Amino acid sequence: MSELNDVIATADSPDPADGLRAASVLRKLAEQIEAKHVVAARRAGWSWQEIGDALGISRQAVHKKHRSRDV
Amino acid sequence: MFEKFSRDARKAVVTANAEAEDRGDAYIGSEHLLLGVGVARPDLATAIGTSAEGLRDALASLDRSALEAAGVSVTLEGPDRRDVKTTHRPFTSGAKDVLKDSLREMIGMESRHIGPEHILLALTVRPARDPALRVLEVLGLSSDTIRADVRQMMRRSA
Repeated sequence: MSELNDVIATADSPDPADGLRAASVLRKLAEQIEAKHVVAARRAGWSWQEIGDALGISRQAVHKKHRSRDV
Repeated sequence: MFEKFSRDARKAVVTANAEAEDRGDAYIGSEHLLLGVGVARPDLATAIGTSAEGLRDALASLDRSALEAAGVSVTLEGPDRRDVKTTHRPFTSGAKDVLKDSLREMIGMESRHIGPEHILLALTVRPARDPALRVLEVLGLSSDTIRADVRQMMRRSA
């Protein structure tokens, strides 16, 4: 999490190197958050369609991406 | 299916795409259909106790709360207009269900065209996890009350 805090602090940094790194780390973070919460949603009984609707991607796409994580 | 949609209902759907565009969303969900109805028919938004701006703000506040819950505190700006694709976005399954259900609502209300009112009624019967219902929840609007308000409004103008 300290890496995240460093990212947030530099998101408006004047140095493009920091800003670009922030974009890259945030993409990784988004993928991690998605994976974690897809698992949690499935455990809580969410259907693949409900998960897809929440993410704005198709049921098929979310299932294909995350089915190996399924409970 | 869209041949049964009134001009205002089509406007609501086109507006839903535009609202998604403004937000930088790559899809049209039930939450965008709700915005579309509120923009295409401001009187409907008023009848249920909100406004187009209120609906937009409620959706934006869901974004902010979600980011906070994830421990992220940055301000989300709108997309760069140059990146915005002014194309038709795909509907989510939920949005497709809303559009299908709006036909059912039209039949149930014995109307001859699907109007924004029927889209709104269809939004009120979404299952609990639907994103549009979360927007209405932020505004403290219940599905039952909305249905009653919409029906009352339709009776008055009948």
